[in-house]
Amino acid sequence: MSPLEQLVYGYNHVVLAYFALMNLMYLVLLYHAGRAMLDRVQRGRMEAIDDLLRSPLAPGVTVIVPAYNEQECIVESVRSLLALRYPRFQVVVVSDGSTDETVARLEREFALEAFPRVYVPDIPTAPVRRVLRSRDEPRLLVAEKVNGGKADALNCGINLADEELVCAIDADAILDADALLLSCRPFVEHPDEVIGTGGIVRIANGCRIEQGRVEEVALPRSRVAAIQVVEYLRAFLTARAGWSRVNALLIVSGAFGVFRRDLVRQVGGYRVDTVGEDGELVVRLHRAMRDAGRRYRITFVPDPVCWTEAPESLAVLRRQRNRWHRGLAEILWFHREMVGRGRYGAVGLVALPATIAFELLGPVVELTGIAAVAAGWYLGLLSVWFLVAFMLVSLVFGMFLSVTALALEEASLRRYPKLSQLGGLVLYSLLEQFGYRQLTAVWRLRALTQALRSKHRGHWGAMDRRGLVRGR
Amino acid sequence: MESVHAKVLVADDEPHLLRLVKFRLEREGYEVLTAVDGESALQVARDEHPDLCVLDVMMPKRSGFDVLREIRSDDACAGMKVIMLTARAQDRDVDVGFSLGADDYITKPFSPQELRVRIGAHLSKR
Amino acid sequence: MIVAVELLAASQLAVIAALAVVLTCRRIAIARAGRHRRLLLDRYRDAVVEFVGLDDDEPPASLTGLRTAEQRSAVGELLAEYTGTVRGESRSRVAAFVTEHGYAAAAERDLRARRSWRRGTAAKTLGDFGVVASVDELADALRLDASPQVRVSAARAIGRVGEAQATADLISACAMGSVPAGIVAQALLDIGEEALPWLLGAIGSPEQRVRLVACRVVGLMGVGAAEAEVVAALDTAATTDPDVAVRGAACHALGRVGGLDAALAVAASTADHEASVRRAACDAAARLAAPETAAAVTRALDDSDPEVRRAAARAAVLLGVADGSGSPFLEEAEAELAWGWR
Repeated sequence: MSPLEQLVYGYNHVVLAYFALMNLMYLVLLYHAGRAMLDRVQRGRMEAIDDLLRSPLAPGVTVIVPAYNEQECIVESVRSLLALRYPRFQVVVVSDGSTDETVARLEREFALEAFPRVYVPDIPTAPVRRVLRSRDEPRLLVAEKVNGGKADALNCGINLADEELVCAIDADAILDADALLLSCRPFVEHPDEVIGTGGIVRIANGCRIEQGRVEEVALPRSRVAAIQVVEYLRAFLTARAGWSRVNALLIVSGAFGVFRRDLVRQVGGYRVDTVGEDGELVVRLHRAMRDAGRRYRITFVPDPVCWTEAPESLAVLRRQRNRWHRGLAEILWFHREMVGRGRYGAVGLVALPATIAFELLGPVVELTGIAAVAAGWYLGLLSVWFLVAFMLVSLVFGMFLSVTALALEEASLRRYPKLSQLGGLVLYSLLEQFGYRQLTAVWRLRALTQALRSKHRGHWGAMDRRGLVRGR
Repeated sequence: MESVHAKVLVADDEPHLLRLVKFRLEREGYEVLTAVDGESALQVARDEHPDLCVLDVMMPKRSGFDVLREIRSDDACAGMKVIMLTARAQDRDVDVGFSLGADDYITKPFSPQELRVRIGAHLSKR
Repeated sequence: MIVAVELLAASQLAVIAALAVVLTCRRIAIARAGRHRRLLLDRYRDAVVEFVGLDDDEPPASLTGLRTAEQRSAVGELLAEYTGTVRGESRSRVAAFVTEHGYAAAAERDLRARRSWRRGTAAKTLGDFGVVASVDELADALRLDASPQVRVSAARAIGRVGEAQATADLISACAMGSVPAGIVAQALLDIGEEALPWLLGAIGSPEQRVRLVACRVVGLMGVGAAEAEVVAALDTAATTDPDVAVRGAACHALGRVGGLDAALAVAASTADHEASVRRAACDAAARLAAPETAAAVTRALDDSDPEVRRAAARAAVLLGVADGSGSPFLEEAEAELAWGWR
């Protein structure tokens, strides 16, 4: 064998070993996720969530809605937020320099008037132009500020928050009526330990939505969106549920997360110089708590809390994945000192290294792997058995993760009412392995190289919104 | 009994409670309308002009306070009695309820006997 | 390695196939069983609603003399569901019925079932039934059950029954950490004033968790005749407790309990070295009109921490001691009051 052939041969085996290792890690996560879902099922039999509704112990929550030109959906969003089932909360809408009717429509609808609120920038933000309050609805506060990006808008909301907990959501997210009840319950039960919670985010495409509520769950008609349903199930039901059980949950989705306000202020709020501000905050909280040697928990709530619109066009999807992967790269770069350090426990020793190896570098290995196998086959270096092993380990394993995630969903939540929908999802998890997966790997690889070359400033990723009311 | 034929709207998203209250009031001889969310509660209140509404606060689509406010600002609904029946028992909520013009405030878990007596009292006051 | 990988993948393929079959069958089975159960529940629903909702002591004929386990479990479930939403006379009537007809006894037996979910469900049912005699059994489950979820369920059920006899067990479960503090707090709150003697002791517990729960709960419930003792205990906690959260909770509680002694204690706490305690003290002072609180709040208007200044301004406006100096926080607080959202 020539040196080149040796290299190709050797690399092929490295890739195979890599997939095998990743496979094993996910099996461990799956085990933990399974246990978490089992707990949830048993718990559901034993207690009624409604008890918390009448409890004066329920901590107050400030729901922060950062909005940039959201005139199409803002009124409806706010109205459905105000109808959430929770005993004590306020809604703070932060218009981040919107140039459309976002604030005007709110003003008309909720009888807003200027309110002499003293703005205390505990976390520095772009200047706040005015604060408005509703005459009709004591729980609604609206702030108009100079544009500074999503993280900046969230920080402004945190500065304005009066309640003990803050909940950051996307203006176009559709919350379940019990979203706050479910995600605040851990704070009630372990008041001195839980500092943050996040729940399952689902894809709203194809569902029947009325007045900001998901009325009927169904699969999207767009194939691109349907595959993302499978992706989301896997990410939330297996990965996040699993990591949360070992208290190493690194990402709480930006679409919905609840945190202790005092701690978020202490660590300085969301970072404005990254596109992954949601995940970055969680890692920084982990870091601050471990540095201070405090007992704490960041918990995943295994219930669906939030529905979001998934991109149906490949171009928009590409931009989204690009943003996500760059965000991931930035988070890992900011917190590189944590990796492998014993004082950061499971986060530093397991979660961060695994994220780097299998998430950040995943597309590199995946794409070079395909190339190496092709080269090895062309050079006649690889046995048929090796090829079979490679195919199986990459394709079957992907499907295995999807189908087990589906099984977790089916065992605990059962949100997809029809058997045919379930069958459809199995089919899509197969389809995902051919084309979609490789395509996203290419996008993520590009994002990685971009992140390595330059530090892009955080900005609002443009996504075509069609508003919340989807005529159907 | 003078309350006979009075029309009462009960709005609550808890099916058990709704059924219980409806049954109880029908036995008293009231005509009972029901709604499971704020939006339809408002619709029924406007279309059917019930003499009295029993409203939950936390309902899907529109909150009970929201519905109450709309009822109070609607001339067609003038004179309608409104009782809030809710799990939100904190002073602040009770304040908000009364300041918006509720006639009474009952907290869950409730006593069916008490609810009956209070509804009777409000309707006889008209 | 190649063989190992292939074996792994092949076994995963087998799992996929097996899951597909199992899920489909399970779905169908659940749908069938669910339909059957729904029909059964619907058959007895009206009778249960009638029994719970009316004032008659006599249960409807269709609810008495049921023999089969299926019928009895359906009726038990319905009774628990509907009783959960009511209180007063309806609730005691149901409690008498489930005791007389053996539903409570069946649930108590289930408290010792092998499967933990059965034990937990049984505890919940007993809580919904509200039978006082079951509290001892629930306390046993709270102390001894190996499953954390069952202990939680038992703690909640004790609260729902609302009798004070297991209060000591609840507090020691909190001290040992065998039940989350928040669950214990809710149960104590549900029990109400009768739990007060134990709570007074708990305010001085060596466990921070217990002290915190006790302070919060005492503040949220009526204290009746025990006011002087409660205020004394809270006063000590507010001024001397080593834990910030406990001091803050004690201040809040003092504000709710009220009285001149409480006002004195709260006024002292507005000078605490932790900002969060000073803020809690200002919040509490807003409810306690006295010369001491007025003076303390006026001093706190110049606090170094903006959150404390805001709370002080709100309190000053509510107490009517705002000096009209037009400081921004006072202006904000006055606007809040004028809008009527306080």
